[in-house]
Amino acid sequence: MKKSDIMLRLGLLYGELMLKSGAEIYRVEDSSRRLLVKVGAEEVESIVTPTGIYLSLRVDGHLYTAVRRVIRGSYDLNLVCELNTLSRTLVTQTDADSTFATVISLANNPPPYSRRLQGLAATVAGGGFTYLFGGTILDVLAGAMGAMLVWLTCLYLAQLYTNRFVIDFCGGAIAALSAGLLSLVLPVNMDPAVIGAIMTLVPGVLLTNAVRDALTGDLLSGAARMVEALFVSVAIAGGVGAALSIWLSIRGLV
Amino acid sequence: MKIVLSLAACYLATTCFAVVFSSPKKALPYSGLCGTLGYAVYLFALELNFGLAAAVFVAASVIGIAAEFLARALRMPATVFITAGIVPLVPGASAYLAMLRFSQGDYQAALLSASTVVYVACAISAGLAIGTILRRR
Repeated sequence: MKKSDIMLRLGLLYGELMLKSGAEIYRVEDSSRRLLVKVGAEEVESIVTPTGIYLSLRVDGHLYTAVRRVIRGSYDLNLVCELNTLSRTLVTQTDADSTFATVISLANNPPPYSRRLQGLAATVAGGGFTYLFGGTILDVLAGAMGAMLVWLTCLYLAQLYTNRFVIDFCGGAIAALSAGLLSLVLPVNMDPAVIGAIMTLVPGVLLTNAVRDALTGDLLSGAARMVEALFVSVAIAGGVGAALSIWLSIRGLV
Repeated sequence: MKIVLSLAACYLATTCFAVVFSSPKKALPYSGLCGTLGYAVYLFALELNFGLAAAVFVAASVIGIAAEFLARALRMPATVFITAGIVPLVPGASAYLAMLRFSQGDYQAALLSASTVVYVACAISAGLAIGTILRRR
């Protein structure tokens, strides 16, 4: 394969992995420029948005451009960290082929935590945030249980359905239903228990990163992420609202 | 006593969030520390009648500075500590509450929550920018 082709593919793969794993826009642009210069590009120009990467390179005096569509993945800060370190520790004039292989092997490394451990972490986090939102001990238990159910639901739906909106909607509905069912038998406060349960879905970090992007001048990505955060919260609130109103009308009948 | 319990819950929850975000194992205890430090500053500032936005701003700038220090000490990007560290401050719950109130037709409460979301998010971003400015100097 031509040298320029390998370098373009390396740049796109590297950028895609970083973007998917939750790196900031400026870091994706900055680190991929550093990496590509080290493997021998004379000039690197890239535009990174949350939905795609445009990359342009000058190699041996010729200009090459490629585009990659990126679909958001789940956070993997470990991978961001390793890819970032790679772009800093690589010595200049490294061969593009071997760097490509390194990036692929980093991406194929097993994740640092098993799914089960992450589910447990989501459960504990749900309980902890229920407490911070003013829950009693019973609420904390209800919030933790809700968070676990939400996590399991989302994991299951993500395997069979790729639509984020539907997943968040169902997550919200499950949170409200589990808190509602528990409140029948125990004196559980709905509000803190529901908020704790949906804490892993809620787009707080997304929204803050959107504002950070906008402040650093990445207006396109700031606007795009704000719209994403808006729709995520609409989906969750829609799920909770739908489940609550159905729940209240059923309880009214009984 | 209540404060200690809150901070312990905050540390636990933030560290668990770092696991959900797949942070590097080495960074886990420090991510929790970053988040708890920020939350403690936030509570303290509220105690001094700072007002919500100002308290969040001060807390976020402490998180930003701590994250830059940790980034240098552990040779990791600051994002690792910031992403988990801001979770206790972040207006996710208010964003959800705003949308829920809108869907229930309670527009006054909805707008109140929505404006909280906007200025808390802006205050966090501005606070984190302080850490970035100090690093670039």
